Amino acid sequence: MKLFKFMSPNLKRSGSASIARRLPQVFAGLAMAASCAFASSGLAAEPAVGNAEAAKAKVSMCIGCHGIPGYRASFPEVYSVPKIAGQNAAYLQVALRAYASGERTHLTMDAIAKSLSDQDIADLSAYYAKLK
Amino acid sequence: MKHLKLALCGFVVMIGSGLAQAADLKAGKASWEKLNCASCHGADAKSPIMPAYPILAGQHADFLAHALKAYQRGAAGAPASANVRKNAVMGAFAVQMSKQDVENVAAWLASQPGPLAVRR
Repeated sequence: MKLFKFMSPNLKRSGSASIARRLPQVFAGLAMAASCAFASSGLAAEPAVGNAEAAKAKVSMCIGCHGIPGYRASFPEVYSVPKIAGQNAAYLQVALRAYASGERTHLTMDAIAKSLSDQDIADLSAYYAKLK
Repeated sequence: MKHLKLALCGFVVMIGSGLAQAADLKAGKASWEKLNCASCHGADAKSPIMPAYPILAGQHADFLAHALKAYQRGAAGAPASANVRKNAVMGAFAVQMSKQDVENVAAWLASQPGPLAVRR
Protein backbone atom coordinates (compact mmCIF):
# COMPACT_ATOMS: atom_id res chain seq x y z
CA MET A 1 0.00 0.00 0.00
CA LYS A 2 2.91 2.28 0.74
CA LEU A 3 4.15 1.64 -2.78
CA PHE A 4 0.84 2.82 -4.30
CA LYS A 5 0.84 5.95 -2.19
CA PHE A 6 4.37 6.66 -3.28
CA MET A 7 3.48 6.21 -6.94
CA SER A 8 0.39 8.31 -6.79
CA PRO A 9 -0.12 10.35 -3.62
CA ASN A 10 -3.70 11.32 -4.41
CA LEU A 11 -4.91 7.88 -5.49
CA LYS A 12 -6.87 7.49 -2.27
CA ARG A 13 -8.92 10.64 -2.84
CA SER A 14 -9.49 10.16 -6.53
CA GLY A 15 -12.51 8.34 -7.95
CA SER A 16 -12.56 5.21 -10.12
CA ALA A 17 -12.41 7.31 -13.30
CA SER A 18 -9.10 8.80 -12.28
CA ILE A 19 -7.77 5.33 -11.35
CA ALA A 20 -8.60 4.24 -14.89
CA ARG A 21 -6.66 7.20 -16.26
CA ARG A 22 -3.75 6.28 -14.06
CA LEU A 23 -3.75 2.58 -14.98
CA PRO A 24 -0.63 2.73 -17.15
CA GLN A 25 1.18 4.39 -14.27
CA VAL A 26 -0.05 1.69 -11.87
CA PHE A 27 1.09 -1.07 -14.20
CA ALA A 28 4.49 0.52 -14.62
CA GLY A 29 4.80 0.64 -10.83
CA LEU A 30 3.78 -3.01 -10.50
CA ALA A 31 6.28 -4.06 -13.17
CA MET A 32 8.99 -2.17 -11.35
CA ALA A 33 8.07 -3.81 -8.05
CA ALA A 34 8.04 -7.23 -9.70
CA SER A 35 11.47 -6.76 -11.24
CA CYS A 36 12.82 -5.64 -7.87
CA ALA A 37 11.37 -8.77 -6.29
CA PHE A 38 13.05 -10.96 -8.91
CA ALA A 39 16.34 -9.16 -8.49
CA SER A 40 16.30 -9.63 -4.73
CA SER A 41 15.33 -13.32 -4.97
CA GLY A 42 18.23 -13.71 -7.41
CA LEU A 43 20.54 -12.30 -4.76
CA ALA A 44 19.16 -14.65 -2.12
CA ALA A 45 19.81 -17.65 -4.40
CA GLU A 46 23.45 -16.65 -4.81
CA PRO A 47 25.36 -19.66 -3.42
CA ALA A 48 27.47 -19.12 -0.33
CA VAL A 49 31.20 -19.40 -1.01
CA GLY A 50 32.66 -22.28 0.97
CA ASN A 51 35.56 -21.73 3.35
CA ALA A 52 37.27 -25.04 4.05
CA GLU A 53 39.28 -23.52 6.90
CA ALA A 54 36.10 -22.38 8.71
CA ALA A 55 34.71 -25.91 8.43
CA LYS A 56 37.36 -27.22 10.80
CA ALA A 57 35.29 -25.91 13.71
CA LYS A 58 32.19 -27.65 12.33
CA VAL A 59 33.32 -31.16 11.35
CA SER A 60 32.84 -32.65 14.81
CA MET A 61 29.32 -33.70 13.86
CA CYS A 62 30.58 -35.45 10.68
CA ILE A 63 33.67 -37.33 11.80
CA GLY A 64 31.88 -39.61 14.28
CA CYS A 65 30.55 -41.56 11.30
CA HIS A 66 32.27 -40.41 8.09
CA GLY A 67 35.74 -40.36 9.63
CA ILE A 68 35.72 -43.91 10.93
CA PRO A 69 36.89 -46.62 8.52
CA GLY A 70 34.34 -49.44 8.33
CA TYR A 71 31.54 -47.48 10.03
CA ARG A 72 28.09 -48.74 9.05
CA ALA A 73 24.51 -47.53 9.21
CA SER A 74 21.83 -50.13 9.78
CA PHE A 75 18.48 -48.99 8.43
CA PRO A 76 16.68 -50.28 6.47
CA GLU A 77 19.69 -52.25 5.21
CA VAL A 78 23.17 -52.45 6.71
CA TYR A 79 25.55 -50.34 4.63
CA SER A 80 28.81 -48.44 4.96
CA VAL A 81 28.34 -44.71 5.40
CA PRO A 82 29.55 -43.02 2.21
CA LYS A 83 33.07 -41.86 1.55
CA ILE A 84 32.68 -38.09 1.36
CA ALA A 85 36.33 -36.99 1.28
CA GLY A 86 37.18 -36.13 -2.33
CA GLN A 87 33.52 -35.89 -3.39
CA ASN A 88 32.38 -32.91 -5.52
CA ALA A 89 31.66 -29.88 -3.31
CA ALA A 90 28.58 -28.95 -5.34
CA TYR A 91 27.19 -32.47 -4.93
CA LEU A 92 27.82 -32.46 -1.17
CA GLN A 93 25.82 -29.23 -0.99
CA VAL A 94 23.00 -30.78 -3.03
CA ALA A 95 22.95 -33.83 -0.74
CA LEU A 96 22.86 -31.78 2.48
CA ARG A 97 20.08 -29.55 1.12
CA ALA A 98 18.14 -32.64 0.02
CA TYR A 99 18.29 -33.95 3.61
CA ALA A 100 17.17 -30.55 4.94
CA SER A 101 14.24 -30.36 2.51
CA GLY A 102 13.08 -33.96 2.99
CA GLU A 103 13.89 -34.96 -0.59
CA ARG A 104 16.27 -37.47 1.00
CA THR A 105 15.57 -38.95 4.37
CA HIS A 106 17.84 -40.41 7.02
CA LEU A 107 17.13 -39.82 10.69
CA THR A 108 20.59 -38.57 11.66
CA MET A 109 21.41 -36.71 8.47
CA ASP A 110 18.00 -34.97 8.43
CA ALA A 111 18.63 -33.54 11.89
CA ILE A 112 22.20 -32.49 11.10
CA ALA A 113 21.34 -30.92 7.74
CA LYS A 114 18.46 -28.94 9.27
CA SER A 115 20.83 -27.55 11.89
CA LEU A 116 23.23 -26.19 9.25
CA SER A 117 23.14 -22.69 7.76
CA ASP A 118 23.82 -22.14 4.04
CA GLN A 119 27.29 -20.99 5.03
CA ASP A 120 27.88 -24.14 7.13
CA ILE A 121 26.83 -26.31 4.17
CA ALA A 122 29.16 -24.44 1.81
CA ASP A 123 32.08 -24.59 4.27
CA LEU A 124 31.70 -28.31 5.04
CA SER A 125 31.31 -29.17 1.36
CA ALA A 126 34.46 -27.23 0.45
CA TYR A 127 36.34 -28.94 3.29
CA TYR A 128 35.42 -32.49 2.33
CA ALA A 129 35.92 -31.90 -1.41
CA LYS A 130 39.52 -30.84 -0.67
CA LEU A 131 40.17 -33.68 1.77
CA LYS A 132 41.73 -36.36 -0.39
CA MET B 1 43.74 -89.96 -2.29
CA LYS B 2 40.96 -88.77 -0.02
CA HIS B 3 42.96 -85.65 0.78
CA LEU B 4 43.65 -85.02 -2.87
CA LYS B 5 39.91 -85.24 -3.63
CA LEU B 6 39.14 -82.76 -0.85
CA ALA B 7 41.83 -80.41 -2.08
CA LEU B 8 40.48 -80.66 -5.62
CA CYS B 9 36.96 -79.92 -4.38
CA GLY B 10 38.23 -76.88 -2.51
CA PHE B 11 40.08 -75.70 -5.59
CA VAL B 12 36.97 -76.03 -7.76
CA VAL B 13 34.87 -74.11 -5.22
CA MET B 14 37.49 -71.37 -5.07
CA ILE B 15 37.61 -71.02 -8.85
CA GLY B 16 33.82 -71.12 -8.98
CA SER B 17 33.32 -68.32 -6.49
CA GLY B 18 36.02 -66.29 -8.20
CA LEU B 19 34.28 -66.66 -11.53
CA ALA B 20 30.90 -65.77 -10.01
CA GLN B 21 32.34 -62.53 -8.67
CA ALA B 22 33.92 -61.67 -12.01
CA ALA B 23 30.59 -62.33 -13.73
CA ASP B 24 28.87 -59.94 -11.30
CA LEU B 25 31.30 -57.15 -12.13
CA LYS B 26 30.89 -57.80 -15.83
CA ALA B 27 27.10 -57.76 -15.46
CA GLY B 28 27.40 -54.55 -13.44
CA LYS B 29 29.37 -52.87 -16.20
CA ALA B 30 26.74 -54.08 -18.69
CA SER B 31 23.94 -52.52 -16.56
CA TRP B 32 25.92 -49.28 -16.31
CA GLU B 33 26.18 -49.20 -20.10
CA LYS B 34 22.61 -50.31 -20.77
CA LEU B 35 21.14 -47.57 -18.54
CA ASN B 36 23.61 -45.04 -19.98
CA CYS B 37 24.70 -43.88 -16.52
CA ALA B 38 27.82 -42.39 -18.11
CA SER B 39 25.74 -39.70 -19.83
CA CYS B 40 25.56 -37.90 -16.47
CA HIS B 41 28.13 -39.57 -14.19
CA GLY B 42 30.91 -39.66 -16.81
CA ALA B 43 32.44 -42.63 -18.64
CA ASP B 44 34.92 -43.23 -15.79
CA ALA B 45 32.21 -42.72 -13.10
CA LYS B 46 34.36 -40.00 -11.54
CA SER B 47 33.94 -37.15 -14.05
CA PRO B 48 30.24 -36.25 -13.93
CA ILE B 49 29.02 -33.74 -16.51
CA MET B 50 27.98 -31.38 -13.69
CA PRO B 51 29.67 -30.96 -10.30
CA ALA B 52 26.22 -31.22 -8.71
CA TYR B 53 26.32 -34.95 -9.59
CA PRO B 54 28.29 -37.35 -7.42
CA ILE B 55 31.54 -39.17 -8.10
CA LEU B 56 30.66 -42.88 -7.89
CA ALA B 57 33.94 -44.63 -8.75
CA GLY B 58 35.47 -46.24 -5.68
CA GLN B 59 32.49 -45.52 -3.40
CA HIS B 60 31.52 -48.32 -0.99
CA ALA B 61 29.52 -50.95 -2.90
CA ASP B 62 27.02 -51.41 -0.08
CA PHE B 63 26.42 -47.65 0.08
CA LEU B 64 25.82 -47.43 -3.68
CA ALA B 65 23.38 -50.35 -3.46
CA HIS B 66 21.66 -48.66 -0.52
CA ALA B 67 21.34 -45.40 -2.49
CA LEU B 68 19.74 -47.18 -5.45
CA LYS B 69 17.32 -48.97 -3.12
CA ALA B 70 16.44 -45.62 -1.49
CA TYR B 71 15.65 -44.23 -4.96
CA GLN B 72 13.45 -47.28 -5.57
CA ARG B 73 11.65 -46.69 -2.26
CA GLY B 74 11.23 -43.00 -3.08
CA ALA B 75 9.79 -43.77 -6.52
CA ALA B 76 7.41 -46.30 -4.95
CA GLY B 77 6.02 -43.61 -2.63
CA ALA B 78 7.40 -45.12 0.59
CA PRO B 79 7.00 -42.88 3.66
CA ALA B 80 9.83 -40.54 4.66
CA SER B 81 10.55 -42.74 7.69
CA ALA B 82 11.56 -45.58 5.33
CA ASN B 83 14.84 -43.86 4.31
CA VAL B 84 14.02 -42.66 0.81
CA ARG B 85 15.43 -40.52 -1.97
CA LYS B 86 12.94 -38.66 -4.13
CA ASN B 87 14.51 -37.78 -7.45
CA ALA B 88 12.65 -37.93 -10.77
CA VAL B 89 15.70 -38.87 -12.86
CA MET B 90 17.42 -41.36 -10.55
CA GLY B 91 14.06 -42.78 -9.44
CA ALA B 92 13.15 -43.54 -13.06
CA PHE B 93 16.44 -45.42 -13.59
CA ALA B 94 16.39 -47.24 -10.27
CA VAL B 95 12.92 -48.73 -10.81
CA GLN B 96 14.21 -50.44 -13.96
CA MET B 97 16.81 -52.34 -11.95
CA SER B 98 16.40 -55.75 -10.30
CA LYS B 99 17.95 -56.51 -6.92
CA GLN B 100 20.73 -58.33 -8.77
CA ASP B 101 21.30 -55.37 -11.15
CA VAL B 102 21.67 -53.10 -8.12
CA GLU B 103 24.25 -55.37 -6.47
CA ASN B 104 26.16 -55.85 -9.73
CA VAL B 105 26.41 -52.21 -10.72
CA ALA B 106 27.33 -51.21 -7.16
CA ALA B 107 30.12 -53.82 -7.10
CA TRP B 108 31.44 -52.70 -10.47
CA LEU B 109 31.44 -49.00 -9.50
CA ALA B 110 33.19 -49.75 -6.21
CA SER B 111 35.92 -51.58 -8.14
CA GLN B 112 36.69 -48.54 -10.30
CA PRO B 113 39.56 -46.22 -9.33
CA GLY B 114 38.45 -42.88 -7.89
CA PRO B 115 39.40 -40.04 -5.54
CA LEU B 116 36.96 -40.89 -2.72
CA ALA B 117 38.30 -41.72 0.73
CA VAL B 118 37.39 -42.09 4.39
CA ARG B 119 39.18 -39.12 5.99
CA ARG B 120 38.48 -36.61 8.68
